[in-house]
Amino acid sequence: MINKEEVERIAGLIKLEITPDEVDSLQEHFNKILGYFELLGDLPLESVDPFVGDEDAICPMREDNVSRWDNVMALKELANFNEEGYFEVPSILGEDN
Amino acid sequence: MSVRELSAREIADLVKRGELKATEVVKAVFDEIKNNEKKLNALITIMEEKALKRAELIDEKVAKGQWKKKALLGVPVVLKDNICVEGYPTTCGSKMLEKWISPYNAGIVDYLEEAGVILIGKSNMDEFAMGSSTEHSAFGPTSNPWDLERVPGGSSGGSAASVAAGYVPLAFGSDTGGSIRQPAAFCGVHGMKPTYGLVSRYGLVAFSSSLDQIGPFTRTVEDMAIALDVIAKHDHRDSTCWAGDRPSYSEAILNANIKGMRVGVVRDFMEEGLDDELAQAVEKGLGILVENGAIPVDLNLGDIKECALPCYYIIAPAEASSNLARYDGVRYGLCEDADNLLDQYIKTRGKSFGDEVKRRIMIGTFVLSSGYYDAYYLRGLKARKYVCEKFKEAFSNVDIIVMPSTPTLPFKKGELIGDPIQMYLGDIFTLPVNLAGLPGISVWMGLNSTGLPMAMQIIAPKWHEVRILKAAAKIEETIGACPLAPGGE
Repeated sequence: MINKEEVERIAGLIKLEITPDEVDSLQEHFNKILGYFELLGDLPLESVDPFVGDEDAICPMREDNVSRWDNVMALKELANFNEEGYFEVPSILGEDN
Repeated sequence: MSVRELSAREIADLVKRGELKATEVVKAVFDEIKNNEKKLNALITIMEEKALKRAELIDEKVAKGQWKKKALLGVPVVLKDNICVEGYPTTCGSKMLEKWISPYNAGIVDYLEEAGVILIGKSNMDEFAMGSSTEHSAFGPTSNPWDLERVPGGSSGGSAASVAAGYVPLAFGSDTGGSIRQPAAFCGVHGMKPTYGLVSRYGLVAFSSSLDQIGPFTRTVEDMAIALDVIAKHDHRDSTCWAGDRPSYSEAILNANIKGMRVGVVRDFMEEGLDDELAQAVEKGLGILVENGAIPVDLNLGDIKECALPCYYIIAPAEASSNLARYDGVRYGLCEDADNLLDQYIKTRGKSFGDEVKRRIMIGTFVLSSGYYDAYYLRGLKARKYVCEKFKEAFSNVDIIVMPSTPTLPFKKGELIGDPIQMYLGDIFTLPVNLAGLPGISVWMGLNSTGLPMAMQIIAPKWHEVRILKAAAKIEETIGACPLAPGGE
């Protein structure tokens, strides 16, 4: 069983603000879903190797050529870039530090 | 015959011969959208100006005798709103990307435009493709054109509804655990998830990278084959895209012969938990294949039905938790004001993601976290291997497998929204196919006794889309092509 503190800890790991109501609902759904995962415990998987990718797939290699993408301006318009070409963000340590 | 009743192939033939102008096609499509969109809510973005300009260009080219070899000339197309079109929003059904404008075209957009299509709009979807009803969209739910009180399925519900309602004869979606086949079944159209690696995913917003695949929705099997001819190409911009040759799918289904094709049927799947009329629909489909010379073979797929759902809901959220980490308010989309960077991340993600996305990235983070990895994620990977092995074994004895697309008929809006497990169980027959990377189609099988669409799923070994299309063509010869849904009139 997952408790509320564990729900809050996971939300912290993925940088997600959740309200007290959301904590309650997430805890309830979490426990239902994790309970469902227990079905895997009944299956004969001990001797099965984990899936690590498609054995039949041949990942094609390509030439290691440098190419230029011409639409850099479109990317810059989508984010808060400053004149020096850096992303602009709030203070990393906060205003008081 | 009105434009909305024409197939993609028929529109392209008429436009090439100069018997139908592309501008007339576009006008008919937007009339249809204007008449029905308030009740359906199938589209998030409508590209009327772009479509009209494109149609005028097509008419000019045709008048000069040019572009007549383009397979989909003048065909109106809708794309799921997680596929990038340069200069237009790609919202993924999320507040997070509401104002995000795609800076480039997805691979399939380039291929479709080269084939002569007219892009009409971007369709509604469950947020970041996480859902089975299109109710988890920040832009409101889509209605099923067969019954407006019911869901169209999901996550590509807007694309399925657009084809069923007759907005367009061809739409595209993405399928991570059934997100093309399940809405196709619910909306009474055909929907295919190709083999993992057959179609480029360059420009498809990632949900679960080892499972996602793009595929078409159509009302005829012929259109499905033509669409696959156009989009199934090697694209070096997607490193998972297979470099091998693809056959001509449309040529392969001409005079399709399925004599001697071994068709596996999994009797365990036809028992508890499956709607009676859907079970009868699968039996009917099997019967049609056998009448055409196929050989039925009873199959045992072990415990994959029990295995697939927990396996999928470990692996897909784990990958999603990583893929969605990029939405931090700095590089993409919405950004909430905050005093420091950490608060900006936390607030932006908390305010912009919906309930289902939060739930899944939380589960994904949990199963990957220290102390739980072996118990959940590693076990999920083993279960995935088990599913792959069972299919491999099965395909040493059969050429295709038939099974239900969904366990139930389309359900009512709001019916399952508060019960994630019940919602997830709706994908029980489609999830195993993604886990094994196989191709699968959901084929229209007529209406049930209360007038709701029914479907059947056909799957094949990797790269054997031709077998699926041949079998689907035989089913369509008896059942007929998908009719237009009444909600789109």
